[in-house]
Amino acid sequence: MRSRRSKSSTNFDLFIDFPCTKSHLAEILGVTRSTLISWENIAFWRIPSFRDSYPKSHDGSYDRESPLSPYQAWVLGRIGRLMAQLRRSERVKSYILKNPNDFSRYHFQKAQSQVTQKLGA
Amino acid sequence: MARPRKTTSATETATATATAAPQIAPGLEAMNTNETINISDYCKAQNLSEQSFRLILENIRPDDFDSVKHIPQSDIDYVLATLTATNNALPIAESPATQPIELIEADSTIPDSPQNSETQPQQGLEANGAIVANSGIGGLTQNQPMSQGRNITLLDELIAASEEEIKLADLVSQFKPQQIIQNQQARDGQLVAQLREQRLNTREGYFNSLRNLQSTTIDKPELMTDNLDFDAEITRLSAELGKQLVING
Repeated sequence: MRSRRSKSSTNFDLFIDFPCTKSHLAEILGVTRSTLISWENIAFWRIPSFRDSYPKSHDGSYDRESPLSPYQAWVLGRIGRLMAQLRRSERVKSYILKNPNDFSRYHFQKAQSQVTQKLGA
Repeated sequence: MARPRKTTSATETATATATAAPQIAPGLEAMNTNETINISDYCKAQNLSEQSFRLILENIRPDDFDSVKHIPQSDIDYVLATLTATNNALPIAESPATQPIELIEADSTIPDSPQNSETQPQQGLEANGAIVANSGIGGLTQNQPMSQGRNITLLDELIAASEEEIKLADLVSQFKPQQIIQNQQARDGQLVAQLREQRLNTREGYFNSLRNLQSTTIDKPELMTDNLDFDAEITRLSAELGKQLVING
């Protein structure tokens, strides 16, 4: 396994306020784009709210090429942290299966509002 | 240009695999069930979305539905059955396809006249309005009905969401006081139980101390009655002694 460029970049939740491409997000998180793609693959198939954040194509499939929303970036940051802690994607998948609420949009909004309040205070 | 060629070859192979399966001799049926089919090729051949295919596959292969490349025919049958069931459940499949044909026929049979040209879009709108009312999604071939359909679905969605939210809020407001009362009663019960336990403990403590006190009580000795005449006894004893002395001496 190739070591990350930055080992501490996923220690904290990531909150961005703009749509972000995968390459840019990979740069922010200090990983290669292929690593981010593998995280995205886990999130896409295992987290329905992440999947639904993608716009849909005319045939009903999700447009995975479109930029990531702030929520999706937050999810990928959390998956990156889990990967750093659990090491294997199978463990991450089973963690997501057991704790789906950790990646819910509600959880994201709650965390974001806390951060915003702190910044605004 | 290379990509379409690749696609067609993959399509051909997948179709060949799919069509070749029923032609296998009856004796080789057991082998046929063990055969696997490439999902990507199959989806391309059948013009299906691989994403929706894999999402349905999640029901039967929750562990590797996202990464598996080859699956047996039985799994494909399951996914196809689910897909067709979903498509049948949605009324959108038939209406947009049939409606434009009717409109085209109506266009071809009725000669062009100002009145007809004016009334035709209205008919089309009404017809599509009916479709929208039935399906809730709207036709895909015309712009105006599609936007109308979208509005209605949006409205429906908003209404459904608000109704759901109101119901949930009602439930919350209904259950919250109940929960508070229940908690209060439970807390009262806890306090009562605690007090009673405390009372029992105190009582038991006193009982124990009483028992201890009882065990530490010292028995009062019975005083012997002194009813002897001291002088008479001495004289009697002296007399006895004297007598004895006399006898012995």
